[in-house]
Amino acid sequence: MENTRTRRCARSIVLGLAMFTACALVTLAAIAPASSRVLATCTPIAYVPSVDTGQRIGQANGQSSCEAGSPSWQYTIRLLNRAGSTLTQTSGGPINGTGFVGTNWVSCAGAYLHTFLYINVGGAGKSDTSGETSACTY
Amino acid sequence: MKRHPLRHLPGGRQRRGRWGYAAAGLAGIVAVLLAAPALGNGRITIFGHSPNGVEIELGQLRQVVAIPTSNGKQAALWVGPTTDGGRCAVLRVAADASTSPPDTIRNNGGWCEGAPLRPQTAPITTTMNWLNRGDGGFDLVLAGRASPSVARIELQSANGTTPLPLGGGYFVGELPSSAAAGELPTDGAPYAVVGYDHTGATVAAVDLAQLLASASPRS
Repeated sequence: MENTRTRRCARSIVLGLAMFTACALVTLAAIAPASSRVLATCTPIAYVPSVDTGQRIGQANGQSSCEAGSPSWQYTIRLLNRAGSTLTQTSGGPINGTGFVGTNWVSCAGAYLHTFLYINVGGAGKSDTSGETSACTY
Repeated sequence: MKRHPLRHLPGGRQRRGRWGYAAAGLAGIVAVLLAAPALGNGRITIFGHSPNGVEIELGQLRQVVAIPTSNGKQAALWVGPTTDGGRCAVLRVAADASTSPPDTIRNNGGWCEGAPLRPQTAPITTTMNWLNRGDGGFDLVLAGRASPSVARIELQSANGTTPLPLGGGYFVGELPSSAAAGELPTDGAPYAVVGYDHTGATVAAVDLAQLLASASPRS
């Protein structure tokens, strides 16, 4: 009698566990593709500005490196001096997939320069700031 | 001794002459193609410097659209493939912008799409380019691309409507000058780029203030 009850109880537990596992697997299978879609994104990479030392002009450049399936992105790229003043800027979008952007070339004599790149990818803002170059100070 | 077959035919000498001219012509074409890079049609890196940036063939850039600007120059957009299968749109603002292609330094910014190229999802892609005039002010030049559904495009403001030329799906335009980079002119605001299909129905309207807000970090 006691054995039968124990066996029934064990069978119920096993059945319950099996059902739980099946449900979990189905749920994971349904969620996984959506998660990977949401996770696909772009990453901003600000390059150290290009400088033409002869003319003493500089240009801010950068890249938005995107995973497959990432949303389109909008951007602002700026060429800044050490004090944080914007020498030139370009903003725009949307662009699909990995892309490269650059500003106008601008006079930079005596300035320590860096690039600032901001992207809005699917509503999420990300930015990157490059290292500084002194190439325009010589 | 085996004799040349053409020597048996009437006019064989003449035919050999023709073959000679053809060979010389072919050699000439090959020589020109080989010499082209040395003449300035080589590969250059744009929007960066090696190992960063994008490599394009200078000779592949084509001017797709140009407008005269208010300061007596021209704003032209040049488009060409990257060496790895992508595509660049390069802005040039200069007196000879519509005839002289941009290069590594002679350009005013732009954008490149990496390979593999994806179809344009938004009907209108717009960039706003603040060009430092050197006197504290900025010329503000628009450059962008419209999807094939857009047959006509214009810049609308409180001051009126300006048609923007559309070439190969690309457009350029000009706004009044701005006092600071990243600021739209207050005179004439709000500004919008509006695209229409071939029936005259609006395909899309891009409010430039909204685009700028969306594309800029929150301060």
